[in-house]
Amino acid sequence: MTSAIQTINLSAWYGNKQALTSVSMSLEENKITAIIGPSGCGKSTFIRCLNRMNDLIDGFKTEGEILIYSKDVRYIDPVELRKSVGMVFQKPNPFPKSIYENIAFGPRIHGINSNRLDAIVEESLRKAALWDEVNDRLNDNAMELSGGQQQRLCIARALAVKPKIILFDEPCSALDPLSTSKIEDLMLELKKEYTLVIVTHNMQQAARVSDHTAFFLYGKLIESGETKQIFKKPKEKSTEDYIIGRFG
Amino acid sequence: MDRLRIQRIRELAIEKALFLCALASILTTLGIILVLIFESISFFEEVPILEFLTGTTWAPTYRPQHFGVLPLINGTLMIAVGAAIIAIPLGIASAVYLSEYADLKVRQIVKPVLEILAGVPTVVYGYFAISFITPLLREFVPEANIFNAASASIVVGIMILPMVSSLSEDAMRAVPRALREGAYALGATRFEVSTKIVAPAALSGILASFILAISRAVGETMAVTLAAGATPKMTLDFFESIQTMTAFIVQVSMGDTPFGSIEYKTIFAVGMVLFVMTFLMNIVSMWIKEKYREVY
Amino acid sequence: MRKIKGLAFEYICIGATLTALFLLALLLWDAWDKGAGWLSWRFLDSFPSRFPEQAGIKSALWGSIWLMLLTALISIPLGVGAAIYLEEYADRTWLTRIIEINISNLAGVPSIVYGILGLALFVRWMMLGRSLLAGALTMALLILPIIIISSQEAIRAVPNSIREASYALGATKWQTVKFHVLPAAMPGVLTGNILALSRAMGEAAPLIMIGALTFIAFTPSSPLDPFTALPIQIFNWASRPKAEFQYLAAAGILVLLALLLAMNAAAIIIRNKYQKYIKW
Repeated sequence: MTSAIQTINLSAWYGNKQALTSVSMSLEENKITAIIGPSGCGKSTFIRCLNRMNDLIDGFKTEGEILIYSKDVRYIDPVELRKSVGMVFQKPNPFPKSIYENIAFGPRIHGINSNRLDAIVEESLRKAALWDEVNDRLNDNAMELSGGQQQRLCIARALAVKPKIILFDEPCSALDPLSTSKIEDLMLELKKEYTLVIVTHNMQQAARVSDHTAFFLYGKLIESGETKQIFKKPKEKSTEDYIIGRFG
Repeated sequence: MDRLRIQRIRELAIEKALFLCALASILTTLGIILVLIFESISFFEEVPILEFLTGTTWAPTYRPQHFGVLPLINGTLMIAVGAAIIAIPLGIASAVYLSEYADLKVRQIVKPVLEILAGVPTVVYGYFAISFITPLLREFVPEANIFNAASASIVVGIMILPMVSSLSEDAMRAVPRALREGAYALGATRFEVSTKIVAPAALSGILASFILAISRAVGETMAVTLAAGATPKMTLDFFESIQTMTAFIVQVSMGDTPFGSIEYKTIFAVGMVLFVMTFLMNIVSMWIKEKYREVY
Repeated sequence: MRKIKGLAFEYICIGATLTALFLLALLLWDAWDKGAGWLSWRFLDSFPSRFPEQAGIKSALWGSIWLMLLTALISIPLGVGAAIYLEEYADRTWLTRIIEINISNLAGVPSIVYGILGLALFVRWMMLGRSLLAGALTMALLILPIIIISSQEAIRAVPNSIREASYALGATKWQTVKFHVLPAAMPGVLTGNILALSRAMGEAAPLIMIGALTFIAFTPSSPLDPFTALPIQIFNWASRPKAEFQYLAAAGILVLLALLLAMNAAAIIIRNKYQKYIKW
């Protein structure tokens, strides 16, 4: 098994406030890794380090290494990095433009020839299981879609730039159960081609979709391993407490 | 890879260009200050600065020339004080009404209308002063001059009224509901809540709005040029013709004073006094707002 | 007793508000009463004249339109550019802080001081003379702070999630601004810019300073032509004692107010039209 992502002693600060302390972990290719933990435990900070989204925040800094396919992210241009590491956010955030434009934007800024855009848009929407629902109204404003559809559009949008890794930051927390299960099915489909990392505070979700699970607490990685093992036989007391709902 | 490099260069060029846009504002300030300083310096080479600041006769255009700026400052302050007397009580009362009494519907109509009042060009106020207020005033005070400080004060007061009311209202509405509800729960009346809870909590914003409005009155030009007259004078009689600093500057620039003459340079010396006065008031207003901002 | 006091206070406050509204009505009525009779096509299409019944505002009207276009051309790119820089690019350094304090200070500088700057800088130093261009540059500096501040507000109102979505796809800062932030902020930016321009439309003092108060009986045909503008023509007529000129001033005011009203209406329409599409 190759590791797609590896962090070595990763620590992070927002100004003076430490958000991550010495996290070392390795995430495997073509697997879904779930990151769980109570709010404020650093799980979102962690994945936002992976595509350097936190660089956009004033006063944010990191120490330690993050390797994406063995390359240190500090030496990759963030623009290139984000092209290969896509992200889907907690709240669906389509651009207030047409469905088509939402997907075409990524390929276009990366210099894809415009006569290939139609094909990319269709392919991405198909992969995101949205094509059948929207193929007759690609020019409608994306804001008119339902929340679940918007989130799948955001996934399609991420797919369109052909990333290797996709980060999901609590992708279903704003969605109803039906939309959630559609997204979960989609993730299981996507892992054949992509490496997925999902932050969630929904334990059932982690158990349902992920191959590996990592538990964070107070900015530290408490333990990580196969999802089955983490949920059945956690090594750490605090992991067990969290999973059976004693806190969080 | 080449694409990336071009992109990076373009990004940098755009950032620098945008930075230059932002710098334009700094350059404007520098430009104002430098122009005022340079031209004033050559004015003060001919007129001692002490004479300028303490002299009580302003007669730059006829012999014997006198360059005491106090009459102009006196005129400016009369207008500012007169306008404040009109605008502050009316402005604050309408701010209280809009913030504490009016329901949403009324506010949605009245606020934009007050904003229209703020958007009326100052030359229109000047016209209103001479065509309506002055004749009306002279009905009651027949001895009032055709050009007089009172009439100009009244229109400048009307002009700055929306500023007082709108900024004060913003300050009062920023007072959190919880504070009001706390007082209402103790059985306070609306009057008591407005005057004892909301107004004190919003005091810094209200004071800042007063100063800003007065600064606006000090810098007001067209209305005072049309209505207040062109007679620089050390007086406190509002029914006499006076002259403000701004009106004097307009008067000089309308005549054909040759560039470089001492009369021409008075524009900059008087402009300097005007700039410093308004600048200080703006700073004080900002400072009050920052310093005494209540943190909820 | 408490109740009476409260009621009296309420009436005072209502009274003050009504007074303000009444004064606005009075001001408009006064101009209408005196000027409406003098409004005619001939008034719009004639040059100023010594004879009130022949005088019109053609040169002032065209001067104002020219002036607005030139001012917009100069101030909007500069102001919106500055706003983009301050909101999207600038780190929170001392320089940024100074620029922002400076901008809010500039917004409080009396317009006549801008006129003094324009006189020394554009008319004399850059030797543009008493031209439209000198006037437009002066006006552009005057409204720059308003444009920057209102554009900043509009840009700030664009939710961060849009920026994140764009960056996450590998867009650069400028691509994010150009394709997402600016389009989303555009209604607000446009509204603010139009209101700023309407402020410039009504300003007379800076133009008098740079010497636009002259008898002009032609319409400008290039940015280097001398010019006059509506508020100046109004000022000119209003400062003459003869009653007919007073009426002409009132008629001029009606034209000026109509233009301002049109600009404000345009701003409101733009705001309402685009607000429908953008709901976050």
